[in-house]
Amino acid sequence: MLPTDGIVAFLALFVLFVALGFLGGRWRKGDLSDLHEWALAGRRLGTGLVWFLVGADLYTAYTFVAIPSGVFAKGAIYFYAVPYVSLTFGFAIIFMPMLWKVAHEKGYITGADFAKGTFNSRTLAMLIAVVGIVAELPYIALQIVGMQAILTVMLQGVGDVTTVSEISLVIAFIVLAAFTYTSGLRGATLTAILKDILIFASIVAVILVVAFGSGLGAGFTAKPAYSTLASTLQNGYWSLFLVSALALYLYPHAINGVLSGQDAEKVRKSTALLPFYGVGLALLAMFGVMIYANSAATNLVKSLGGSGVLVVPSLIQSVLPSWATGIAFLGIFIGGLVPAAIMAISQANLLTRNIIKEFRPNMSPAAETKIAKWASVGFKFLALAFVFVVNSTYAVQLQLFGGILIVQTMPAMFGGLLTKRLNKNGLIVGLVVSEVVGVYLMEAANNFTTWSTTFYATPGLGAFFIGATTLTINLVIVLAWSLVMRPKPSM
Amino acid sequence: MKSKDAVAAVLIIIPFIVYFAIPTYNMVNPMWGGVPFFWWYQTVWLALSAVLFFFAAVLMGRKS
Repeated sequence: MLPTDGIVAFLALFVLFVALGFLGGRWRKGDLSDLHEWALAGRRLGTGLVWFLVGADLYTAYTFVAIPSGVFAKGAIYFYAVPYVSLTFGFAIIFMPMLWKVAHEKGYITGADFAKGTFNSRTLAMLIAVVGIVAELPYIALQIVGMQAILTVMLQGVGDVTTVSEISLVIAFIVLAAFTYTSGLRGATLTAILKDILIFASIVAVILVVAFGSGLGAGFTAKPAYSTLASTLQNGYWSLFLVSALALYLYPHAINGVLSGQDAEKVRKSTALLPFYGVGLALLAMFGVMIYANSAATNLVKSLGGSGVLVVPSLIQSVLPSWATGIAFLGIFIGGLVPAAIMAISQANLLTRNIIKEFRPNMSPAAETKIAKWASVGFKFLALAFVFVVNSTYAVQLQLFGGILIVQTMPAMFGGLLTKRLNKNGLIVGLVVSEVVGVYLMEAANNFTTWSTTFYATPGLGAFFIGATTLTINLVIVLAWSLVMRPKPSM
Repeated sequence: MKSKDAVAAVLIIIPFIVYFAIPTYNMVNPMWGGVPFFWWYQTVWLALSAVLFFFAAVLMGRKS
């Protein structure tokens, strides 16, 4: 177990975190029974706060669990996260201010609202809402896997670690559900700032200790095969970073973050600066290599079962003093909790506005908000249940599969911002076909057994990310359909 | 206004070209503090793309 000063630091900061979460409700107070107040913080977040909030979506368990564990197991291919983080903001500064403007003018709160308004299709909007909700679930589950990894390393040696860490997780989730329910997005924003500061400080601390100790390059000396990308994986590399870059801003939680901004130009500028945030992600990814030069950390990972999800916490515990480890662990722990809250809020919005409201159009705004609040609680515990049933290595693949699902909404979303000429039936067929093909290719690539890869051996391209193949199919259907069904020019 | 948008477009496209040109950075040397070129070059480009995107954002935001 982590020595007492580490546990004390962890618990003290957790109390501060909870206090901030509840205080958020009073901050820049609005009427929290109104959905756009609860879910978008009244659209009053300035450049700095949007930076932290959207940055919080980025610095998730994806960054400190999925990517380092991928690098640890497979090497350079998982560094795709770096070009992905740069390029996603290139797309975002073009499309997101456009979305913000339309949303502000027409009162949209979700991406599905936009699809419904632009293409005048309830079917398309509901499909997009369902895809959004489903794609978020494995993302939330991954956050919980990250929190579990922290607890496993922190509490190792305490009798029955599994039971103790599961009980701790349930407690953390009850607290989280309580403050999300009362404070909405405001609570998440304040806690995001605390989390970002703690994680940044921890990364810098570990890098300094490693740099002045064995040196940053020692891991590459110990594992020379990880120095570069195998030439057979180049198509896999770019297909993975391109599709991931397109997918990020299609996730409901990212759209939610953008729409909470004060105006389109503030959103654009804060988004443009976000690649800076990615430098921390790149360093964390390198932890997956650095660990090979640190025998204490590799032994710790091995003794706890050898799972790559333990790489970052094990390395931190091996190089930092125990009090600093406690602080870093809390940063990573709430680094899973905060995005989980933001994601559950965005799922709740979709369920309430774009699914339930379609069947109960006369619902009052207060009833709508109440359902959304309870739905956000429900989604969190659904994801928690999911993690207790599914094993952690599997969760990383499921998150990538979530990306394959969500990117299929790109033609309707980004396409709809660029042109009014896309045919709604073409969009519906393209979306449904590409999702079905995506599931089939996932199964086929893994020989219909447990999912361990998202690459499909594509003729002429080698290992190719499934999301790129299915997005291509989707785009071909949408464009061909829209050309054939093009309205006759009226005189 | 048109020329501003064109400049902004070029600024945004540069990081795409850099990252898609995988053979130009998929190598071990020159190393930096023992870290292979593949790893540090792409990390440095994160900071550079933030700067380029920021100038692009400022240009796009200006009223003509």
